Amino acid sequence: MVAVRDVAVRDVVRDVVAEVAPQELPLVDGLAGYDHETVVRRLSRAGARREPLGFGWGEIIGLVTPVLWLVLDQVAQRFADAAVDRTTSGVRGVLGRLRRGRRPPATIPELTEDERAELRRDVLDLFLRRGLDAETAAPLADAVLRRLAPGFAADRGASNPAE
Amino acid sequence: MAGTSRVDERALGAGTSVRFVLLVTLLVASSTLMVLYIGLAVFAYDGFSCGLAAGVDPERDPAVNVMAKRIVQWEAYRSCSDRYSAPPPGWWLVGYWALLVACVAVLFWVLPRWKARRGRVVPLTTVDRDGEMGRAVAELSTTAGLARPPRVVVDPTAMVTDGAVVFGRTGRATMRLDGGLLVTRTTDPPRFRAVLLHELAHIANRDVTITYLTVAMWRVYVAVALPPFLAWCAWRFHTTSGSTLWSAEAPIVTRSLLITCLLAVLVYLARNDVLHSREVYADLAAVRWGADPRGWSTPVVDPVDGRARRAVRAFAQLWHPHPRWDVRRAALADPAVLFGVRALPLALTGVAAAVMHTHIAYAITQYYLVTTWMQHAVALLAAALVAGVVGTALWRAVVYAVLTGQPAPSSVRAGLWLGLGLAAGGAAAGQGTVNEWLPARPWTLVLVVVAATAFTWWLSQCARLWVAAWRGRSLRGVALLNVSTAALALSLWFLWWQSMGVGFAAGWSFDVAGLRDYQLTYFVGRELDHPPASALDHAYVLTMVMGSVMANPPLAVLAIVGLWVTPLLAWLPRAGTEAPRWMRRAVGDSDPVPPWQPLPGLRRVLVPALVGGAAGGLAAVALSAWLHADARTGPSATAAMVTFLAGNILVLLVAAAVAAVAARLAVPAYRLPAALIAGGTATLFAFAAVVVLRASDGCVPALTLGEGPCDWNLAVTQRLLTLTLLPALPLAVLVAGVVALPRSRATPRPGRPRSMALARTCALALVATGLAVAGVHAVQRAPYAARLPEAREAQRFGQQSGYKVVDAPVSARSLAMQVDAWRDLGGDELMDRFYHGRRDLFAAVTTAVRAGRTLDQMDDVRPLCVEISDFARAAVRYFRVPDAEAQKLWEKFVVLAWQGSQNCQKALDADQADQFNTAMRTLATAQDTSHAIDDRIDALLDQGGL
Repeated sequence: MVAVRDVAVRDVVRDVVAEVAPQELPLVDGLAGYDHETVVRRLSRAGARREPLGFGWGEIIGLVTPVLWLVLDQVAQRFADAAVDRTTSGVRGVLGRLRRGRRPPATIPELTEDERAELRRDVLDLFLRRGLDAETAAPLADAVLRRLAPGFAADRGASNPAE
Repeated sequence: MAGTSRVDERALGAGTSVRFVLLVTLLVASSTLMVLYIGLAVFAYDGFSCGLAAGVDPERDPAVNVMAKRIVQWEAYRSCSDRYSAPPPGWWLVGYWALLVACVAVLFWVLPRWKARRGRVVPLTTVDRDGEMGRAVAELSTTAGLARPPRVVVDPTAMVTDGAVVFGRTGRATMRLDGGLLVTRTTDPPRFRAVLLHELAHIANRDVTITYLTVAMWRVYVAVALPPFLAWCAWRFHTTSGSTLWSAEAPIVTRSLLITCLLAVLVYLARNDVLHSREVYADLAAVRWGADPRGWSTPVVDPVDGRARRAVRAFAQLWHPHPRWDVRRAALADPAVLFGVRALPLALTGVAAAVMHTHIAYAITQYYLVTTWMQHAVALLAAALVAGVVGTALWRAVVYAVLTGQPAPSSVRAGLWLGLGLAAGGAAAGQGTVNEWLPARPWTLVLVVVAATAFTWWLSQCARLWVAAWRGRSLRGVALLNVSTAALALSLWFLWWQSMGVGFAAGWSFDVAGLRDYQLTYFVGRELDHPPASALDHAYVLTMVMGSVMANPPLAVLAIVGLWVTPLLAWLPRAGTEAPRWMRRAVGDSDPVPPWQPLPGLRRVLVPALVGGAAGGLAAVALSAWLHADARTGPSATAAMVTFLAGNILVLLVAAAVAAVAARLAVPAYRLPAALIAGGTATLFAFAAVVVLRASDGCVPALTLGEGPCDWNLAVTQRLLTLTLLPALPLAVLVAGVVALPRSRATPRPGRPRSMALARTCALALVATGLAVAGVHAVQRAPYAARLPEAREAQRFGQQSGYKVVDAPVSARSLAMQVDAWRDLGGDELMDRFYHGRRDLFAAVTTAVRAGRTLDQMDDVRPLCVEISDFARAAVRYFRVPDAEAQKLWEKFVVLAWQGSQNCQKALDADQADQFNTAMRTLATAQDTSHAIDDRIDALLDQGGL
């Protein structure tokens, strides 16, 4: 069961990309047909395929979308794990997930001011670890924080947190 | 390349198709061989028993013994194989091929659908909201000359890279764009255009179908053909690894596994090598259509220092389907990489051709399809693929060298790599090894390397000649002519190597006197005396063995004559003062044409030919005079015949050598073609002199060899042609080639255009003469070439040509297995047949005697005697008993049975009671001898623990 104020990773990615790297929006559109797990699995499998008649293995291009999506997925997983630990029915919840073979919904809950400050540090750190340079990572982390601010949903209309 | 313009990479065909055909043929041949092995295991009673019955010792016999024991008993061996180790029926193979084709077709159909399935990619329209991308693809497709743009899909999860790929088939290709490329369109438009045009170039260059067909074939090979074969290998390892047969089986089974692994590597590397060049072709096409070379500007590769590191990087690159970026970028400025002669493809081609040739030759032997036509067709297939691949590479290299003013790459190096590939592939596939790990004479493989080097030398020298001579718009036609000629000549080498060379490598030693007498009986039609072998006999027999390949294939003379007729044709196009049109096209209309030199006058080649012919004529006269004088001393008929034949062959070779020496001095720039033309032509002139001398035998007393009157007897021409010209033709080419080997020190004199009407007429006449000789031979041999050789004929050759069995002690175990197989596969049945025949005969005679009938009333007895004679004939055709003592008994048994049955019939005919009684006693003794054979074999089985 997803809380009403939780926001889906997919929505955060879309809004942040629209703000920071609008040229990548067609890619986010292209991902609309895939569920979150598929996107994460395939984005995690980085690297070019060695196929005949391709253009060749060029240099790695530094797009924001894959890094953003994977980092926010990590953040969502952390929140989900923390939530599981807090609940008395945690064991049952984990067993239930295992039985269904699915991960919890990739959402980020509404955050307090302190949590947001901590999240910014974490997100920035994750961006840097995934290879983004500081000049790109800092505005991106800020954009994420803006998107997760309490008033954002009201500004843009209520989003659908369910996946 | 400095100072010259960029060479159009399409100046000659790329040779890609023939390389793909080579791969496909290799896969088909290998799959067929694998299914044959399995089929033999399923259908055959026992693959090795016929060899055992023939006396082959699986433990100790070297390959040459295995060959000898089979060939000298070929009738029995063939009959045994037909009965006990027949290959699977033909429909089996046809069904198997149909299955493979069906699997390939299904996979080829499924692959693009699988790669473009929902959930993997999304249609372009999903991400192309404004339709800009679709319009860009349509516009670039028009630029690329495509009738319709390909279907475009996007993999939005491929965000790390900005590449693309095409798949499907050329007429209906699908282009999949990486998600990253959508962003590149706005961030780096030149790169976006370059990627798209590159992919469209693959479609325009017709790469798609052929690439994915190969992919489908390879996967079907791995998934369908390979598993049953690996199971067969495992089964053989399991069942025979502990038995006496293992020492003979181990090399065969292991080599089969090895060759399969080798094949996997070979196909993969060859495929990548072709793909590397296709990528560069696509790059060049894209740039020609307006792609910005900056699209290829990434990534920057760190320079590699040190030979070892460079070698490691080059090795790693072999396994990658794409060439290195620095290579691609360099090719955009100078496509030298597409005109190079590189070692790897040459060696791979050699390995592939040797493996394929050996496999197909094995298959047609299994099915007894070994007509001369069939053997030559198989050799021609392998040779055509080699010539297609190697010839194209050499021609491209020569053209590039001429256009850029650089020296042409070494044809010797190319030949060495090709030859190493051929030798390695042949040895791995089992040429000259039979049941051994290595050929008994591994040094003979050097001959393969030498032949390959001669092949590449001829190709590159003739390419230089034709490139200088040809003035038409395209070189493709003349390149095809040259490559075809080289292919035909190479096929003759393959044929000789497969039929004789492999035997040499395996350790076959011919008996000079035996082979000499066999040859003379064959040609003269009667037995002569049998003097011991002289030095001249050795030379003559060696010549005949080397020239043996000329005798049967109808296209043999054409193959040899083509080697000098093709370069001779280069003098037929009219010389001009302007640059050739093909050259102008290759460098572009606006660029300067490289310096260009016409051919020297044909007179410089023809005069040496006349000189050589005259020398040959004089030598022929001298030979006749010497033979005339020598005849009075009375040598043996055989020695006289050999002297006559060898002398006349020598006359032709002298003519070729003299002409070749003169030609290489006169035309140093094209010394090989010049020497070949002069040598070949001089051989024909000298042969004409020999014919004139022999046709007019008796007219000049000092030159007379026969006893007939002076007459004009042209009937000798045919026999002289068969006995002297045919074996001399390949040797004459060889001599001319050897003469042309050292670089000439003479300074090339520049050619100058002149009226060449007379020279061209002479050239045409020579070409016509050469082709006429080839045509006559082809017509004469064609009927025989379609005939399957009789088993008896092969056996006779084997017996007379001296297949010698090397002494090798036989263990009691092996001997027991041999006699067991001998009895099991026919010996027992024959002895039973005699027993029943004799028993019925004796019963019939007893009944007749008791009934009081006299001999003249025993008509019903006669067929029983005839039946025993038939048995004796069949017994003679069966294997010798592998044990010497038992063989003696067997011979005695068969002789007694024959004598008894013959005397029985004669006694009945002549009504001779005494003779009839003697015959019956003889048959009774034969029966006792038969029991003795059984006893002996039983004793041997006991000793051997069976």
